[in-house]
Amino acid sequence: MRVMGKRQVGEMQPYELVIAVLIAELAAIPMEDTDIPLFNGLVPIVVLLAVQIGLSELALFSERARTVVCGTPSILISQGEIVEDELRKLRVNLNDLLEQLRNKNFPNVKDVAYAILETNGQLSVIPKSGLGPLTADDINLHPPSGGLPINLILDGVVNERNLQLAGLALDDLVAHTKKRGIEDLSQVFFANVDETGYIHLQAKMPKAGEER
Amino acid sequence: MRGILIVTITTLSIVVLGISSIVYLDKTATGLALLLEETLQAVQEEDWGRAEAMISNSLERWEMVQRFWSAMINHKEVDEIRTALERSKEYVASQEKAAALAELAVAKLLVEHVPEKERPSWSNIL
Repeated sequence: MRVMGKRQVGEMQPYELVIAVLIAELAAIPMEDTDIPLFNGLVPIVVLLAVQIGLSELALFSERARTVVCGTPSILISQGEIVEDELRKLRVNLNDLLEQLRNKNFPNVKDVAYAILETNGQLSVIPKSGLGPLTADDINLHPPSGGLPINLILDGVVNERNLQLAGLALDDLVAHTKKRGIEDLSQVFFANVDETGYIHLQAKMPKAGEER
Repeated sequence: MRGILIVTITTLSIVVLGISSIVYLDKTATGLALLLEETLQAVQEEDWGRAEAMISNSLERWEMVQRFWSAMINHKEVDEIRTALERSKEYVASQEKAAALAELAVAKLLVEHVPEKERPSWSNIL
């Protein structure tokens, strides 16, 4: 399953879901029946895996193949109008559409410019201009980027690689933890550093009967 | 690119492994069927000494073959062939012509059926 990719079950393309179900079924056969050799289960699993990788590689390189393998997204609401033909073609009823819109925080159809049913079954909603959430750009604000925080200590264990990545020395970290009243790095539950160099620290909870 | 390489290597390995296993099954089954055919002839001619030697040979050959067959085919079929061969041996030892002929024919049929069943033919696929 890991070789197949990192997509979640709900985000799988239809063929990926079918392959996942088939693999699960095939893996169970030699386990259920000891008369069937392990190879009889392994070979079709490997074949299906190869088919899945092959199809996804094909879809990656060719748009036509992508259309055939994954299908195309369908526009259910276009410029604020529900596209009846498309709903009928996809056998999606109005209640389903409205429910999906409500799930996306659009209780009123008139607020929606476009609703697109993606090939993985998810509904994407594009609100009408002026009805989308306010962003910093809308009010000409340019807040500094938070960047990607780097984890330094997880459950008392220092990640040397991340420490190096953050451009910090172990002594800096020790000095910092001491300043915060933690004597030993093993007593740190979690520590990370952000782009601005701020180190966030959280000490471990004292065990029952132990004093901090 | 890595994905295509994995798919190509896997597909080629499976094709090579599949063809080799079919060739092996075919070769070993033909050898075993030939031995059983000779045993059948010996029983037909009531040459019990030769028949006993031939069925012992068949069982020895089967012992070597079945280790690999077990990894490739359903174990039920392996057990059925083994049972048919053991029965044949006893019928030959007790010189029961009709029963020995019937059991040897069954053993031969079962052995010949295995590569036929594993072959990638239209009748097997459909």
